[in-house]
Amino acid sequence: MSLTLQGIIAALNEFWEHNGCLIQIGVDTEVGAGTMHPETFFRVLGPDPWRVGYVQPSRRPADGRYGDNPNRLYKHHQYQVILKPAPADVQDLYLDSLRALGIDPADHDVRFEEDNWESPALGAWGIGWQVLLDGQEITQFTYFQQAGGVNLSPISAEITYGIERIAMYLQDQADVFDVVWAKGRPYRTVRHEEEFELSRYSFELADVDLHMRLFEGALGEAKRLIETAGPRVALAAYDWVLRASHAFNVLDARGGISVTQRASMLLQIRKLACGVAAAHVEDRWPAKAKDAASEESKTEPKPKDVRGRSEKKSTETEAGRG
Amino acid sequence: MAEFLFEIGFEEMPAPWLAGLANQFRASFTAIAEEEQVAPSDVRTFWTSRRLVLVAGVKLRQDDRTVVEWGPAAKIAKDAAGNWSKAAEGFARKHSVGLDVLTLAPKVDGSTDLYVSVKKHVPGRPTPDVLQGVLPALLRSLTFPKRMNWDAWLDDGRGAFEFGRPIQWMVAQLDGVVVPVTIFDSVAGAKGSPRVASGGRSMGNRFYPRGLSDRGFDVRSLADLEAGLVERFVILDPARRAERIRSQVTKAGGDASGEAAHLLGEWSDLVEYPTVVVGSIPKEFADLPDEVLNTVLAHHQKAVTLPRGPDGSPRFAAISGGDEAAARNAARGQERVVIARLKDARFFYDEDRKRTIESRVDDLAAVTFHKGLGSYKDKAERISLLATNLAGHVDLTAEVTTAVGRAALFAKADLVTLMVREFPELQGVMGGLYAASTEGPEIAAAIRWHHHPVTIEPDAAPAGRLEGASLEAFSVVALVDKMDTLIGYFGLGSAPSGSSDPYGLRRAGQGVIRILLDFWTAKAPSLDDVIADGHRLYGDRLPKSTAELRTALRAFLIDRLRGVLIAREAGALDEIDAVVSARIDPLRDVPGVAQRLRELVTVRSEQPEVFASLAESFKRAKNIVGDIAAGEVSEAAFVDPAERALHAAMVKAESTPATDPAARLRAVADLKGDVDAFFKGVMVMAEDQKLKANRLALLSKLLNLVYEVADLSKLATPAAENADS
Repeated sequence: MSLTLQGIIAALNEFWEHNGCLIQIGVDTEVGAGTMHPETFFRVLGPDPWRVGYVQPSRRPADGRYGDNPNRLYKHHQYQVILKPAPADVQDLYLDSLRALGIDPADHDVRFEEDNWESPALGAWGIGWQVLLDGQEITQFTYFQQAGGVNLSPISAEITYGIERIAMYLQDQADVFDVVWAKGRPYRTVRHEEEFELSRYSFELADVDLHMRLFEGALGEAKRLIETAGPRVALAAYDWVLRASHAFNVLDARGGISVTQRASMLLQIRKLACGVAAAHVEDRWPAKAKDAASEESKTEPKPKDVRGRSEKKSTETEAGRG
Repeated sequence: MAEFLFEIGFEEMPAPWLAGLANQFRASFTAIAEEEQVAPSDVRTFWTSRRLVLVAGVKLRQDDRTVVEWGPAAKIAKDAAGNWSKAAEGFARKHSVGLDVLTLAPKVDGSTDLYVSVKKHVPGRPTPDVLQGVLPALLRSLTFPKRMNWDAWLDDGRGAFEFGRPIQWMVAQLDGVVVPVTIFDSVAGAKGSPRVASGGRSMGNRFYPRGLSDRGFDVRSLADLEAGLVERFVILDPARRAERIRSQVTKAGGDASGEAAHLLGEWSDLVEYPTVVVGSIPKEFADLPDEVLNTVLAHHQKAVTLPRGPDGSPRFAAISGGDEAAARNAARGQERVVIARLKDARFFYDEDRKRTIESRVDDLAAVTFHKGLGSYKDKAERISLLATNLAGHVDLTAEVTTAVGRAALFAKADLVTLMVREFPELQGVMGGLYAASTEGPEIAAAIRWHHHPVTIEPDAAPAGRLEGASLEAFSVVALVDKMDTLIGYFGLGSAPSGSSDPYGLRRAGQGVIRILLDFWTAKAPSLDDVIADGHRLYGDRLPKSTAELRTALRAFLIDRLRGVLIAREAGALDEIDAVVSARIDPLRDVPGVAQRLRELVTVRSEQPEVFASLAESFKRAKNIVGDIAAGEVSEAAFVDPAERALHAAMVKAESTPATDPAARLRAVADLKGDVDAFFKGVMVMAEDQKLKANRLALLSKLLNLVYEVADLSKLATPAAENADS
């Protein structure tokens, strides 16, 4: 009997707990990926070791398909692991985690194929692979190089499992809505209505003006905190960056923004994310703040960057799609 | 001679980098080992996704050398009595030699300034010591399209050590003895504990053979490594992996040459032990066009299409790193992904076909071609008119003229289909397929291929795939689409410069030349007219005037023509220059330029000295004639036998048909003696104005004799070659 979706989560929790991870809870603000969780964004900064695993519900309004598409979801679930510093045998650890899910790599084609991850909004990028299981991408594996525009040291390994995809694979289902979440409880009965209503909202109903105001208001609040509220506001300001990012995603799905507007909005989010990261580094490791500030100015995105990154965004979208 | 073996094992390196990395590895090692005088020989490299391997022959120690050390000048090294001074004694002590071996000698032969010196014998160092010193530099010498920080440190004074992917192990063996090199952790910007040390242990495949508790094995030589890897499911030689893939694809009924060759090439560096798996696709997708199937397979899974199964269901081949026992799972997984993608494609295809291609033209108004140049709807309307006008000018039939107008109008309409939005590489292809349901075959063909030709080879698509009206329609639509783009960007002043060509204008220009050279069957078109027409159709969008635009575009297109000739024809640069500079518009008859070039190359090679001499004479004649408008030659005005003889010979040469460039060139070559005699004996710039005018007229006639074939003054002369070199 193959694992249920919740069995997969339980197995990953157990595996990573056994390997020294704190087991956390997904962030309670709308985000597009587990990377945006403060447990990743802030923890990869600075010198302190950290190991954490958590499930992150990830909303991508533009990927919504009203629950009609067997592969695409408005909201899917990522299992995110951060290992800092990256252990030398991190690939082997990862392969062991597949064994814990009942996948013996020798019975399959398991491949690490080049795929360098980039987040246009977070000023973050890394080097790594997509892990293919019999041709299906099941994990994004990244050695973080930069977050919030700050060059990282030590380097963290980020492992992002697409839970729905792994469940589809293990249960041999062609349609995500047929996945067994718990015994006798198919994914459809848990999530289909939500998929329909949220797709309908982001494609048809979302108020463009309101979301534009939400975007600007959220950015303004983050900016105010970073610029005028002194030390120890980075975490609070970051929540507002996440809210701005979600408002942007809704506008993007709704078709409420032009191509140039899109680039400029991404740039604004990115600048603030970099400001938040710099403020956090300043709070925690004042001696390092100088380096961080210089990194930030070095990574001032050029227009070309933005184009490259927005293309990359679709890759990111692929990564953990359920 | 000793064998040096160096293996760097790493986490999966991006496949497209590997061959280049191996080249760098070999070149760096050779350069370093030569500089260190260990005489590297037979340097070879191998690679897989997880390792780079270098093996070479080296000497076991450097050669001994003699070096001369220089000390103080003679007047300091000797005292008044001619004995060695304190300074000389110090010099001897420093080099640990007795005073008896010191000599005085000039630093430069023949100089009278003498210095104290000593010859020292430097014994060569053992190669292990030498290599130990250079391995860090060898590791550092590799460059990557993108490097990563992996918290590593090299103890070579430079510290932080970035690489393409983290290094997992290193084998460094010189005739069975470890050459030590260690990579350390980098902790807070400083050296930490050792992380990877070179040794004699390599690693096999990650997963095979099954059940092994230790994937490592001992290695002292290349033979050990090869033997160990064979047992451990690693094919070290990239050529043997490629061969295995080719034979398995062929066995599955696929074509491993053709268009699949490129993908198969990528496959061989993806995994250490490639196995080709075959998947099949349910019959419900059998009616999807081959182009769609191929694109979905290649785009998403790097898979190649195989001939259909006995029941007509499509089949494909994909690469797997698993063994034969894992192939079933691998194939099943690939099928699952492919089917999910094909379901999307099926949906797009069915949705798209609910509307005619014609009905989509209006939707193009929402798609920007270029901010200053309007939408794709504007472009579609412009190229439709351009195509219609051009077809009329080159006397195409009324049917073809109508067809090109429609084809051009619809050519961009697939940009707003779901399929092209998902698979941009199907642009044109889908337009052609969708148009086929409502339009004639020549319209569908013109839309299908109008992005082409995209490469320079004469057999590149659509060569050999079109004929008759379809070929005519394609040529017109493909030409005006590219010309419209060129006119727009040049009209805005956005010509490509240096290596920057963001809009692909050079490719468009090359496409124009190739259409005229390889595909055009109608009467030769006037690009000047197309430029004027295109400029007019842009209305007031373009800041440049028609004349400015024509000058800039003509120069650009002639340059593209040169490029195509250089790439495709046997002609040397001076020969290409000569035919392109002939007194005939090269853009009016592009195939003619290529034809004249071939004939010039042939005729010149028959008598190279004659053409070298003629080149000189023609240069001279051109200089003398200059811009003077020469009159008619009057035979009665000749006074010198040399001018009379030259004229008579020219009249004979003139009788060769002007349409036969080779005959004309040979006839001109025959004039060499008379031309030489003329320049030797006749003074063109005579005092007598009448005489001078007649001689200028004669020279002018000589130039014109062959000016429509080539400007022979452009050919290299021995003197000019010297001047160039």
